[in-house]
Amino acid sequence: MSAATDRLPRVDLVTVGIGVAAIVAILGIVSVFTSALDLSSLVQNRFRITVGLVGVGLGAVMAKGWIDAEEDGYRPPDRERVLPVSVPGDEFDELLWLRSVATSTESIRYYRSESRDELLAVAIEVLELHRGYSEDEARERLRDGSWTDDPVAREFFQYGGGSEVSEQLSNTVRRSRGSDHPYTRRARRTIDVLDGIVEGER
Amino acid sequence: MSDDAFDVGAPEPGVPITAIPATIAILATAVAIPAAVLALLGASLMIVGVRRGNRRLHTMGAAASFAGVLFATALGAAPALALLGGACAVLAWDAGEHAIGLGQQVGRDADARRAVLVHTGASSLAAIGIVLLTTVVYLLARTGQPSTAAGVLVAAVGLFALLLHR
Amino acid sequence: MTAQSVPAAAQNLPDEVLEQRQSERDDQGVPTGLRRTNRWRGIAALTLVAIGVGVLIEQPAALLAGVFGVAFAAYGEVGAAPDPTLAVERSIADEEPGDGDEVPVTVTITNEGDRTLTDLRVVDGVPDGLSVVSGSPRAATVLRPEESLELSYEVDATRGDHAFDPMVAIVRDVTGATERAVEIETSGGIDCVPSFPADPPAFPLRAQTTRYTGRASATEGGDGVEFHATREYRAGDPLSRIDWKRTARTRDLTTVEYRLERAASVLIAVDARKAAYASHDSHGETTVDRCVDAARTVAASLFDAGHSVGLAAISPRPCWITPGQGVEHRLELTTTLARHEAFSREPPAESTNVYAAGREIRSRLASDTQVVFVSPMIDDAGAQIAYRFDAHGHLTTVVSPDSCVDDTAGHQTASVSRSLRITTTRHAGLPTIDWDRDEPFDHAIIRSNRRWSA
Repeated sequence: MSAATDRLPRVDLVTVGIGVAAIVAILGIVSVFTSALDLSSLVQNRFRITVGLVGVGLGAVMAKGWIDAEEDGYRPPDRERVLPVSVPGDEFDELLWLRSVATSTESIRYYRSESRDELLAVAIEVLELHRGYSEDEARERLRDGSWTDDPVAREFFQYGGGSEVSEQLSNTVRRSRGSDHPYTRRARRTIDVLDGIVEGER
Repeated sequence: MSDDAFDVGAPEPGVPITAIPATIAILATAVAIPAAVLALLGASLMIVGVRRGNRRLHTMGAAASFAGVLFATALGAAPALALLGGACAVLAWDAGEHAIGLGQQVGRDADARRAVLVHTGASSLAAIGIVLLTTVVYLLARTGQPSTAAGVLVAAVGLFALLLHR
Repeated sequence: MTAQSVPAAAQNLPDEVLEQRQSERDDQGVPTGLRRTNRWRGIAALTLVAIGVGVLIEQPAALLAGVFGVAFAAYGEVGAAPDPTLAVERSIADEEPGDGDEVPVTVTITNEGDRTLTDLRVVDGVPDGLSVVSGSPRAATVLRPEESLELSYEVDATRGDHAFDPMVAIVRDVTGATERAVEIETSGGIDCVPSFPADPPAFPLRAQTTRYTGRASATEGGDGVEFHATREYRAGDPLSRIDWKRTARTRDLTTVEYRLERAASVLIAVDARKAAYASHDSHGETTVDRCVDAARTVAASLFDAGHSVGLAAISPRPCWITPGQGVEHRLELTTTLARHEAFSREPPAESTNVYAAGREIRSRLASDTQVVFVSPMIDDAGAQIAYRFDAHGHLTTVVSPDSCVDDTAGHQTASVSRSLRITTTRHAGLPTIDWDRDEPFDHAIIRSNRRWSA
């Protein structure tokens, strides 16, 4: 039992809890087994039951804390693998993810328009290069949807209302279930269509 | 992106070193079937938690085991069994949590036998000491030497308070 | 992604999302001093529950079970992890391995203190650029004074000068309640310099006809790309140029001559900017690694054909070798490609101003130097570098390793953008070799040769 060379910061609530538990435990044991300190006469049924329930209740709360506790051990960094780098296109995935977890209407609109603009620039270039349109023609086609037969891709570039407000609740639910947000799926479908144009007309 | 570089489950002796006290706890509650079932559930959760390196699951299992022991006392288990069961539930938790922590720092494939055995050995010695002390107090109280019992307990409180404010 | 400032309202993300991103970004160093692990925190709950139950059902036995909660909470207060004194010795089987070799590493850790370390965990400082292929650089044990622990594992050697990082040792007391982490400096490293490939395929330089004033051009034979004639073998001719079919028939050694002029001067410019490091596999080889491999093969091929070759990197960590020839020059090139910080595993922290970088390189180039630009072409800035070289009179050929995948929407978009960029570059008159991930670089060159001579 050596004294620590550094003084450790105390976590007060836990120490108090431990102290209280210690005193109550010892008094309890003493009271049950000795006649010197006889509390049984003080303890009527109702009082006993109340004390019992309080003890169980407090204990249960503390036990929940015990179960949820994170250990504060140091976790050394990853040494088995090489230093990781990003993957091309990670920034766009980040935009889509931000759109899907955003809760306020403004942020949803902002991320939606940012990601849509990025994809729009790519789409214009695809049409210019592989279909021979001029930039204005390409924009026109994307706006009126005549560039593709796929309905999802067509609607992606046509500005319309989205039900952003009602999405806030479903966002939270979806996030916990871990599936892809519909907006991300629509973006994926659109880029697949664009890829089809590039590959098909190579 | 947060896939692990190595298997963070608990290393080799982690599972048996948790399973042994957990099983003894089940035996200690065997006088009452429902209590034994609860202790069995606790033991299973602890073993699965240790295997997977899941601290939360493991601690829940320990709580369940301990609840089983308490349940057994409600259904008439002897004080000696209660002591044994309580000690084993805590020892199983301690061994398992230590192994999980090792898994997170050094991984499942590390040879951590010595570390686990030394740690668990120390905790077991502490548990034995506590059992002896409690038994002594209990017997003293039973054989009608309340003042000695009270004296020992007061000394224990004093020591405890000293330790807390060290 | 355009560098606009995000409006304040858009920063309103739910709390747990912000927390998660923050914790992903936190890169703490090793914490110093004695710390609490708090593992015994909360076990006193068992005592409270036991007392409650015991009082409720009037059973003293329950109280007995509850003693352990409090007692072990006290147990958790008695320990203090010692400050370890450890000596570390590392032995590396081969300190100058070839690329891709598996090198065994053995580390011995000795307790030089006078106290037993009852709970010691160690993690060896494997360098950033190396990955562990077998064994483990981690261990946990009990060490008495004078006792040693041995760690053994194997790493996959990759190009570069890799120095080992300090070893991390974590010590806890026997109750597990307190912990200390220390770093132990060590020496040792692995230096891997891959050499030129033995028989590289012919690399298609652009025909430099009108640039030369007063020089005889296309009808004169020499070294280069297009087949022109055969002549008698001269000592020193590259093996890849010997017409073996004819030798099988006539037993003479003859060398194929290609049409093109005399030795050209070529600069290989490697795109090693921060953006160019992105790769299809976060934990595999980076795109810059593939660019370096391509640069090495191209340099070998051009040297064999008798040209002067130089090297430059477009990076905040710039690198420059003037085009030249000769054994020492070749060695300088392979060594620089292996060890220079421009090509290291860690991407540069800052972005590069491509216009400034391009200008800097052009200012050091002779007017008739060709450029081979090696880049993944994953952003427009990369393509701009190539165009500007070409526009300023340096005939440019582009070699582009494909680092894109299509598993998510973002990745697919990057892939499509890259295809567009390659097409545009080709339309602008720059020959571009698109190097697929699954094929060896030699095949990519041969494939392009075949296409262009068709």
